[in-house]
Amino acid sequence: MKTRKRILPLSLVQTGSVLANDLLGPGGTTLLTAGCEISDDTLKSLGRRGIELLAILENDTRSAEDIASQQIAAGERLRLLFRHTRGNDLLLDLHAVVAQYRQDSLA
Amino acid sequence: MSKELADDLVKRLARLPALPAVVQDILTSLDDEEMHADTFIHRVNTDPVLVARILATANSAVYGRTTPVASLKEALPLLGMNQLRQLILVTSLMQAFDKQGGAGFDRKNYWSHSFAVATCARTIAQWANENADTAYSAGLLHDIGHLLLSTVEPEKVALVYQDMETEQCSMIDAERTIMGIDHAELGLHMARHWQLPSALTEAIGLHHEPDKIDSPAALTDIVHVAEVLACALDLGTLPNSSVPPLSPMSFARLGLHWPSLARRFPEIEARFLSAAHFLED
Repeated sequence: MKTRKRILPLSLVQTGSVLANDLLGPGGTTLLTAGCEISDDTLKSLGRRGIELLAILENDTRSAEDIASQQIAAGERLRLLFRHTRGNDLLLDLHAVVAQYRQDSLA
Repeated sequence: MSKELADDLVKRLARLPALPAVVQDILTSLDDEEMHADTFIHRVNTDPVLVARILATANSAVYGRTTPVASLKEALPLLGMNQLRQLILVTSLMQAFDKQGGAGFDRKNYWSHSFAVATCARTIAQWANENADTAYSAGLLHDIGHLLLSTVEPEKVALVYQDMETEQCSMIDAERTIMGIDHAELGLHMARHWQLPSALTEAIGLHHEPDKIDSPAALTDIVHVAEVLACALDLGTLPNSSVPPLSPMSFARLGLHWPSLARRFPEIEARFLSAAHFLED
């Protein structure tokens, strides 16, 4: 099964989710390793440690066509949002950076 | 359109409900690390409805409890003073303004946009080594003038939206055409009326025009860029939203670099999702 990484606030992580990256504590020690399954006790323990966000792996059931159409829709939405930015180089740069981010996160 | 209407709007500020005392306390103590938690919590505890709402939100955000958090004192070590302060600020502001806004006012959208700008402001402040909590609060309050306009002049605000659509102009331009004043200027008057700290007042009043500041202020720059970024990331936007103009001076003063900041986009989006808790009824 294909997966993709997603960053979520702890409050929206469901038990049974799979951790995408090693989770390091303040001193650089490994608290959890990538690939481990998140249990309810793990969530509680992370909450007590002040962890607010987790990178988890989600099953990706989208077809190649689904992905392509999502990427096209994202590009169109960005063009609409950035429709009044002509002549501002910084906003053109931001448009390009967000477009790349969207394409990568949807791939 | 009319200077009289603008003057009248400003005069009517005095008749608005006072800002909740606890909000005043938080906003005037954002830089005060030594603030006494007990005094602060005691003040909040005088409003049981507010406490109940804060605890409901705290319990949905705090893991590691087999029994629900039952008091603010209990929530403090779990959330930390800064997070508790922000939670109280958001909850009390939403409670105070729950009944504000005319018939056409979209409360959910207003707060969603405010959360989006606040979330981006916090990240930008961290990047620029500025106070992240102050930036979050400024982001939360930056459009308070819009809330006021929607309260006292709902029909005119509806005309503003119409004008934006037909003229393809910004909200600021449409407000100035129709009312002779814009939401940022009105927010500035409101912030002064409430005697908010000067940096916060300036950020509210000049977040669309940061280059008008005599001496550059980081907080105004942060809120200005945060609004641009929130819109670019499509957070708290409307179907017809567009990314507002960006001041190259603000961007340069903060030492920002889009490709580097992009590494934090997933975090910004996740924190925005988390903030959306507050909008759930």
